[in-house]
Amino acid sequence: MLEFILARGNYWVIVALMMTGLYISFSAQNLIKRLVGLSVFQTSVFLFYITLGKVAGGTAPILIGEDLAGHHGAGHEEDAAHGTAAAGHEAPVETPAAPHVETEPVVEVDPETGEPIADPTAIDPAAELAPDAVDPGHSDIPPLQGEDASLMGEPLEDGVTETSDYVLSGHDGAADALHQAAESSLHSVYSNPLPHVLILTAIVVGVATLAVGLALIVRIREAYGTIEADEVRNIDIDVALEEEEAEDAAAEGAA
Amino acid sequence: MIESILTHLAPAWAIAHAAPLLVVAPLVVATALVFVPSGRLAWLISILTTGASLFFALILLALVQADTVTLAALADAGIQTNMLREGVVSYAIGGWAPPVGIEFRIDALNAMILLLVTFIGTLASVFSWPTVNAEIRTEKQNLFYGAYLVCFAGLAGVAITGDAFNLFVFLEISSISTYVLVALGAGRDRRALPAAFNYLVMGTIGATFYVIGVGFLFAATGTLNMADYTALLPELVGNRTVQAGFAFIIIGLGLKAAMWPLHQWLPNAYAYAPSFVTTFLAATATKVALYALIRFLFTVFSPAYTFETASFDWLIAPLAIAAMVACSFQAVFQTDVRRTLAYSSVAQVGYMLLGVSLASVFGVSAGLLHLMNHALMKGGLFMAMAGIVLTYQGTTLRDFAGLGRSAPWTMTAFAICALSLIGVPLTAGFQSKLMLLQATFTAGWWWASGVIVFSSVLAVIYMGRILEAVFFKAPENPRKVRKEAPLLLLIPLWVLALANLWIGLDASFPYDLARNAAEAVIGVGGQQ
Repeated sequence: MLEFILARGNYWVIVALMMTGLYISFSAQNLIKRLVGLSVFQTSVFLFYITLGKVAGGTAPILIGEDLAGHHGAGHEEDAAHGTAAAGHEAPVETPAAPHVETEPVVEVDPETGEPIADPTAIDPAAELAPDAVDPGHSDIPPLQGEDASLMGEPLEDGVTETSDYVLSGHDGAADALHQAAESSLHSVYSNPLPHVLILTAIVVGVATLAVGLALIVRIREAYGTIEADEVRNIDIDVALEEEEAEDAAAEGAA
Repeated sequence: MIESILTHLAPAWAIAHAAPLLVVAPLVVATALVFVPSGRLAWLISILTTGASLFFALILLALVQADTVTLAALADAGIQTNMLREGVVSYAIGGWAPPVGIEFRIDALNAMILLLVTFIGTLASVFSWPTVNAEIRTEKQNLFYGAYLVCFAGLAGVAITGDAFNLFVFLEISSISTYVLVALGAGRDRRALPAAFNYLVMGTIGATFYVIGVGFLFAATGTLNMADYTALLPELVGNRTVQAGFAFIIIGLGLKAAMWPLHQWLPNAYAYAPSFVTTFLAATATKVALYALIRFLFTVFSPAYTFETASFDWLIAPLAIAAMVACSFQAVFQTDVRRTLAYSSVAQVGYMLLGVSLASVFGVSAGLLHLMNHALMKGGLFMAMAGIVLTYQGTTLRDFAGLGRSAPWTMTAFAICALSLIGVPLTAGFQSKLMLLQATFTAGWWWASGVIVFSSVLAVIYMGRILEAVFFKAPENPRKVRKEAPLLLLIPLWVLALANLWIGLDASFPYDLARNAAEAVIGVGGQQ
């Protein structure tokens, strides 16, 4: 039971944020607090989508490390469509790796650089087998590779030789082997990019809403001199009552 | 008749790209309006733009209704029609094939809603100039028309897209511009500002609920395309993720459609917005949200699912009934005519939802017919309202006294639309209410029939109060001399009033549209 709850930590945070946001936007009288509540509510939905798209141990869907090598051999066409498929396929396989990949040891290893455990083993075999492709990647962006290797953790070591085998068979020239290589040679697991893209759009929508809302609050403050919803309501009621009395008096006077 | 558009009028590029152009044209022009120096020029441009969209909507309707012979003739002429099969136009945006890319998908239901939105949009644009000129500051008029076109494009986009997330984006495009448009009523009455703010908070919550629902569906199926949902969801009926998604989507879209009791944003927003904005919104905004609701209820989900049948019987039908009774009562006790009409709008949404909740072809087509008729009558009523605001400034019942003598042409059209709202024979409202009554009787919901009649009696009371003041009371304020609304207002107003009478005499055109639409969506659900 406790495991069930702990394994879904993200979702508990999302639910808590969602309820907090909704409660604030309903209960607060201050208009700015209402907007803040609304933003918290929306943010919880963003987190919900991101959590949906997260693959355990996955990185951003960009070509790094061995993928750069593998991809170089295989061609550029396949990236978008097959990328998702690859992520989907590898997700269950790589999930056991996730517990190994804690962020704390990773951060400690990087600055030391003196004896990185995963780095040389991860790159060297690839460099030997596909020398043309790895060199530029290695020299241009060393921090990325370090990050990649550290994110992937130890299970990389088994995968690397496999991947480069695929690459080599791709070089041999069989068309479908090339295709296959492109699909499974994407070595780094990465998260499903679609929810991220959707949420980028949703964030833009949220920012637009927030901007319009704040502009409205400025105008309300100019017109009413307050940004408390109950005071605005009371002012409206008082004015309406006065107007009605004045009209009644005018009607009686005319009669 | 309508097919002559395809064969004679429309150029090949317009037929091939009607779907995206309908949305993109107003969106692009809206941004360009920022640089237009004068409000009058912006007005003319927006008439042209909405008129062009109307033309594209007619092309789409013709394509959807076209038979195989016409389509074959078009194909022979080398004209690309994007027909998926007979009755369905599918346009892949940017050439990305549908499940991956965004799809614009038009069937009989969309085509009808698009025709309604663009028709009302064009008519409202023609009508708008005198009232916008009077209510909006000169230097903001071009921006006002820009916001209006963005709103128009958003509504058309909601009606045309076949992608669930894209629908959210268009929903928010139209909503955010609506908040701005409503707030611009502050020039006349500062209460427009809190009304717009409340609308913003509630509208955003509704849209976010919809996004949560789509997220659940995405988690269960891995797709965002509505046609994909139709294919994938039957296997997942028992899945609780899908059911939760259903609940969130219904609540989110219900809020946008002003389903009782989620309608709290509507009365104030309609009452304090600029007259032109109220006219346009009352006739289109809730209708489009209702369309999205129907799309999800019948195309994405299906009445064959037990949880949906339960929600029809225990959620949507009772809420529809509650709206018809409660909001009609509230309408009776309003002293501001615009608030009466706004509450009446919520009650009329109840009629439409009742028709939808019957989940039969007959019921849904009755609901859709009422949706169209209501757009025509409420559009007409609010146009007359705008004319009165323009010439006499008052909106209360007291201000309306004796107007029948001061402005006979305006108020006669008002009276025709009011009678149509009540459901007097020989008007459009009678046709749709009669059909709704028949549908409820056929389904054996005799109690619902009783409520329809009762709610109509309440409509007699609240509209009767206004008509009595207008035609049988002496003007209290002596300065009210005879003065009509400008001709530019009167012509669109009378177009709508005569449309109400014409549909009252011969409802075959809108009836066929509604019937085809209902068959298109229920047919899709029935295949499962």
